[in-house]
Amino acid sequence: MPPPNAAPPKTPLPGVKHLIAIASGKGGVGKSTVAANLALALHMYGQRVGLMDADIYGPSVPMMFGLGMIDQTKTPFPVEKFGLKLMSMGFVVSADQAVIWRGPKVAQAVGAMLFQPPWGELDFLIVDLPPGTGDAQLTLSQSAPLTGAIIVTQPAEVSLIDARKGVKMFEEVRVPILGIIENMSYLVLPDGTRLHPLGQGGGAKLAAEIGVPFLGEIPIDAQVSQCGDAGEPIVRKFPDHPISKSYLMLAQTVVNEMLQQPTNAALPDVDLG
Amino acid sequence: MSTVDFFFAMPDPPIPFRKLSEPARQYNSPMNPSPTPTAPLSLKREGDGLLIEWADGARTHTTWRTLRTVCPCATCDDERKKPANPFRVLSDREVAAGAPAPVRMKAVGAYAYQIEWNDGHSTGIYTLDALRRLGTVLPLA
Repeated sequence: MPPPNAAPPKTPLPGVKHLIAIASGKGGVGKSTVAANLALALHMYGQRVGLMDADIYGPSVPMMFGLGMIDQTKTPFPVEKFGLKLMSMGFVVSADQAVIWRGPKVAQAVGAMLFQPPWGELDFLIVDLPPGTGDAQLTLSQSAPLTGAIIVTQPAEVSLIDARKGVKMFEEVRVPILGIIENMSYLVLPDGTRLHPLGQGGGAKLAAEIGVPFLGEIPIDAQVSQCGDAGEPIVRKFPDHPISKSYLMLAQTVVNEMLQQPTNAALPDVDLG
Repeated sequence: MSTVDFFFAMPDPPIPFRKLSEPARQYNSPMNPSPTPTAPLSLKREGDGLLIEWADGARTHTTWRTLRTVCPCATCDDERKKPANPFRVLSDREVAAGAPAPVRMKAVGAYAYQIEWNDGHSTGIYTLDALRRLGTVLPLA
């Protein structure tokens, strides 16, 4: 048993109750859209929420929230919009500028964006991860007390191949997988028929394969991307839209689940005498 | 029907997001056939090595020399693959260090510890799985 009077190990981000990564090994599956809408949905449930865009090369949060480069002397970080606290590489680099950095600088930037802004007291800090299993994911896993990860995939097997890699990575670094979300699952035609242009059943299959909850499907809907491009995610723009209601249900699930889980416990310190 | 009307013609909500019906799974899955790994409760220096008490009740001891010898960093891994070089000159710090001993040992995320050694080496990250494998299981206290 640990020594009874031992001080609890220090955790970075002490004001953040739950740090949740939105991830996928695959690019273009809709991580940023899911992250933005889930963050807003959590806020609509009265939670104090931050959203950190960890994609250094292709940040999406600024456009999705109708923002661009930010002058810190006028607007301090993290930027507040729609009730969320936001941080993104896109606030410091112009949208038409390419970030051509090697790994160590990426890791440094992710760490800086995560730990330097005064996030304050948050119930949830959602981290929108870039695709892959590289520097951003490692930096987060090694230095931040991740509560868990939600994996986003499309139904197609080509997405599942990379989603599995993402799952494997989180298993290696002992970050719990909270569940799988399948995005762009189907398209509904005017007569109610569902088309599955990107395949069918992949998300549920992956969830069953690795033994985690399948959190649900999100259909293809032009309004989702239109709202993202216009700078107001669909959950806020059209809260009564069926997709928005699905995000609200997801947020409720996440909130209920987190209420039952203790805040993430760090590994014990080592007593070297 | 216009494009806008088409996309407004939504049926009932998509498959509702399901309640998380079981605790968030940690790391035991068909993709990871090894037994569910356990977590350390305490780590401390004992004698010439590291004593770890694990959540499943096991206690393991690993000498510092063992840990230093099997440092998992890329540089050490590369060096071990090369033939031994009898002409390698030790640095002053390596000579002065003597027997390997940790200067600092800190947690890395939820899955590993990083050891800073008295010979100046500090890039090895030892996963919990590796620490468990390297340890000699001690009799129950």
